[in-house]
Amino acid sequence: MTTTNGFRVIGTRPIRHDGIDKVTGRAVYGADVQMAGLLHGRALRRGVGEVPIVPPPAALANAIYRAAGVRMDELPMSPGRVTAKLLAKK
Amino acid sequence: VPKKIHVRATVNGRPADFLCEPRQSLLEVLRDELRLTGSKEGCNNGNCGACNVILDGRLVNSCLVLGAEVQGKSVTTIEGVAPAQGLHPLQQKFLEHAALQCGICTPGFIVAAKALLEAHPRPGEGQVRHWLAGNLCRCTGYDKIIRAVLDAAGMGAERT
Repeated sequence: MTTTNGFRVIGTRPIRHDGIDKVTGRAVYGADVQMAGLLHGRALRRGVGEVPIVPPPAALANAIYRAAGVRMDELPMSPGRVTAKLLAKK
Repeated sequence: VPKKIHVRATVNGRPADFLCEPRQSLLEVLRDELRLTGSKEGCNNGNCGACNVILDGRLVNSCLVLGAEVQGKSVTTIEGVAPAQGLHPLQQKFLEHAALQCGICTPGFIVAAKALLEAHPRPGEGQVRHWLAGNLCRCTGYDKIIRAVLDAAGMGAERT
């Protein structure tokens, strides 16, 4: 197929290939996927005073333990440390 | 664990039964319980419009409506916009005008525009901009979207 200007691509207005899925709501994005055993993470930024305040980290450590099955015993409980524990467990 | 509420509603023209916690938003119910993931969670606080649905004829942010509130009501989501075959004129014009890129805001824009056209079938540009003021787009910008809606309404808009 050639257009009037002699080019096959230049000067054409193709409709984007993922367009129909996107305008109908059928397109599947990362957040739309639910997998068995999917672990939901939430960024809890380490803040001023995290270390001296005892009860919240303990509660957070328990929450991580219940969700992921790994015991965090060191602050801060950063995503990297959680991931390392998860990998070590496997 | 809080007691779940049994809710009966109509979603996209079909009866829908679901159980939801009292604190769950309509958006959570649509996405997580009914698996209608076309409605997007952009901000979850009513700023971005990505979760727009039509509730008994009225345009709402589904993140600001509780699931339990829709008992006996009718909900239209992006999945209910297209006819059985083909696309709704708004969807077709969004494609032709290249009024989308990443597509996260697109369902909200299309549902909001549908609500607009149901209330005002021949809107002017100002009216379109006013009705879409509750929807945020971070990649395409608004002009192509406005033109797509005007074109879908037969209000002639040049493609650029």
